[in-house]
Amino acid sequence: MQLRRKQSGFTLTELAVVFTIIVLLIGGAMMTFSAQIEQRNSDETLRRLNAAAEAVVAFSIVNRRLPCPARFTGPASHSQGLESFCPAGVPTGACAAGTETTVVQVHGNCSNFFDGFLPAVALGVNPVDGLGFAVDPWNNRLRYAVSGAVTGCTTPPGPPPAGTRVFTSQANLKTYGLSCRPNDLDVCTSSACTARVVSTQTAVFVVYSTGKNGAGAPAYGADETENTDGDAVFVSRTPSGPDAALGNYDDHVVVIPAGVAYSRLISAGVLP
Amino acid sequence: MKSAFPGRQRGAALILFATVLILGVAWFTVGALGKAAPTPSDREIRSGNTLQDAKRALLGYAQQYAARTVGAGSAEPGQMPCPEALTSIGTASEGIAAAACSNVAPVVGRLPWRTLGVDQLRDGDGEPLWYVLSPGFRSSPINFGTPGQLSFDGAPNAAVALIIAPGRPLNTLPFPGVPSPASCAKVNQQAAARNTAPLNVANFLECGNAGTNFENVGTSQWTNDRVITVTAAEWADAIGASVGDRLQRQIAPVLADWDAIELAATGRSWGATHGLPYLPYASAWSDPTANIYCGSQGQTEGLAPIAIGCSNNPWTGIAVVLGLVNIGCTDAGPFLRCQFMRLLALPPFSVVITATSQDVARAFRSTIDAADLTVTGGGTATLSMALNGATSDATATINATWPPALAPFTVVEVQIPHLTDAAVLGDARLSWFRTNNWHHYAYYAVGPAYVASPALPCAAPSDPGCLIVNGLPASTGIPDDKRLAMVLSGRALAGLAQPSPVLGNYFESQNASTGDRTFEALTVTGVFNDRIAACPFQHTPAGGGPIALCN
Repeated sequence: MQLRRKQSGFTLTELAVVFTIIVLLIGGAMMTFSAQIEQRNSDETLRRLNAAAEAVVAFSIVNRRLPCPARFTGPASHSQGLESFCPAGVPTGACAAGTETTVVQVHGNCSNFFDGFLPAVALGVNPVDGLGFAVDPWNNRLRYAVSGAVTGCTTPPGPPPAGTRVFTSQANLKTYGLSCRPNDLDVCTSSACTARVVSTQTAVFVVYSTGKNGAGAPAYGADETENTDGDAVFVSRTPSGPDAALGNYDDHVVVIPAGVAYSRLISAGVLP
Repeated sequence: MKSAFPGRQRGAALILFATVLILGVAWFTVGALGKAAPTPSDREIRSGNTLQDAKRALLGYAQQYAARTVGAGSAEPGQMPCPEALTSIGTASEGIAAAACSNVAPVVGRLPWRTLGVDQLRDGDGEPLWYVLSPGFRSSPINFGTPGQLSFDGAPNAAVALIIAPGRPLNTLPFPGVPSPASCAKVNQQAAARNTAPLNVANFLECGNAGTNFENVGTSQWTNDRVITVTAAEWADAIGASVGDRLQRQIAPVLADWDAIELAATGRSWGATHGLPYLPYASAWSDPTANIYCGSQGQTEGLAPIAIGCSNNPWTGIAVVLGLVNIGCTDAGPFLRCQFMRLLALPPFSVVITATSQDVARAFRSTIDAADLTVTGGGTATLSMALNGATSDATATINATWPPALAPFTVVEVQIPHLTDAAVLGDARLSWFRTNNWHHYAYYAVGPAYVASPALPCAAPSDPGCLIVNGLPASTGIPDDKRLAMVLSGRALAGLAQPSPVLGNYFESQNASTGDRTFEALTVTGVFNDRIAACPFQHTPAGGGPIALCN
């Protein structure tokens, strides 16, 4: 009876089978669940980027210019989610590290045209991290790049002097007017830029997220590196894993063409 | 045996099976959530939002394109982009507007998203959007009066462009009965053929949209297209600001500074050569499609006098002679010929010719100076010019002399070239304005102090010879020191018709009154859509002095 009583429980085999099934089921559920979370995060990122783009356009209507990107050089040196300009005496070109200012400059010369972040505090965008930068669902900061060069401006007054910042300066935007097209941002389908997402001289600003894998470590594809290398070339394409021919890519990029930005400024009576 | 501890065994099994069951349900639930197929309403919402985004991008592009003054299409502001060519799919041109397309038939193709500057927009079924362009929006004339010539939902001339969400491939062959509406044909669209060049429109669009009777049928088993229109009014409102900007930056400065353009082109001008600068009188207002666009005496407001050949009047002359016999002045085609003969009188030999050309100051006319005169027989001549403000006539006074050695019985002559159209009328910056008939939509006003022989001064702001333009931004100068103002009417506002002889059908508020020298720049709304260009006008860029857009 004692023996039988002990045997009347579950055998090791039975338990093993049951636990295996449970583990498999939990594993499957977790994988599906995490995929779903990823999808939700991805959707949420796009939503935040679109909201950020709207906020930038709204800012431009109120302030009659596009905002400068926020600067984050390091935890001890950043613009606290505000716009970052070069100082008053540097209306063109780059400015020396440490001289950047968050005081709005009429010359519109941003300190970080292509390697800056969304100026969330200036735009009133939420949610932000402890330093005032807007973040995506993975707590990576949303980035923002704005055009700093133009072409095609009507005469008069004609092409602005070299280095003049048009889109980020209220006075210059009004002076040089609707005919100016952005002439630097280039949104491509790969870092080699053999094909473009949008035609050149079209994009006036981009807001983007570096995706789940962020921008910190070097183990990312060339296309992701392109988006954080500080130049005016950006890559937007469908996500791919590390095994893909073009390497890892999980960034999300939202492009706003100059036409859309201008037409909003016109309807608001800001231009021409 | 059987009854020993049965409860325990059953209980444990129940818990285990319950766990398995719960996990299984959870697994399926989570799995189902993750892959949840969008509901029909999700798809409709996505299609609708995407169509709106596409329309915004399309109008934004057309607006920015209209502001361009160099490059392709800059001669036709308001030109709409072509759809992507049907053969572009799979090539580097995918997403790029075709460089050329018909101006006389509707053009159908995919939305040129790369050209517009947006990501490839897809409808609720994941299909890229299509785009239909009306005839008339590729070649001049393109202006506020250009009708959208697409038929939509049975209404002719209803739209400038359509954006269509094509939906998933449909197979309506198995459906019984005859399609309703009658415009629908039974189709069997092939998903596989949707990525093969050249694209077949009927493989994407159904019913009238596969032809030229475009429609938005809505929920129907025969079609799943979703269509939004860009109306002519929406298009006109989008490009109005750009055309207004070009009026301020190109047309107003060209007309206001025509004297300098004339000097640069011919080496002489009324202002620089004779000290008689003028802006020609306006052409008296009438139905702009029937106006002659030649200035009318005394009219400081109306339509721009930019027609070719206005006031193309020859010189007529009389001469007073000394020592010579006056044979007379006759028109010799390109010039007035005044002939004289020496008989036997003694020197000096001289004549004074008074030549008159009518209506000169009513138009943009060239001028001449002494070097343009041809004097035969070794004579020389001087010339002085006057403009009569009451008649607009030009009077040239020519003093010609010949040397004492002039042989007896010699016939000598003075040739006075007729005045021609001023160089400004051939200026490249003016050509888009004229070829697209934008002058039908532009009011032209000159300050009374700037016509020929003005009676009123505009030496200081608010002088009675100045125009007043209220509502310009503060940085653009003084409001009441203007010498030239042009007003671009918008499209006809609701309830008003264009073309029309009625000023109020074009211009609003202060701009609809004539003769009060006063104009108004307001924010464009549903009841005010005028756009003002004025001279002088300036902007001030950052870190510099004001830049004059027009002097």
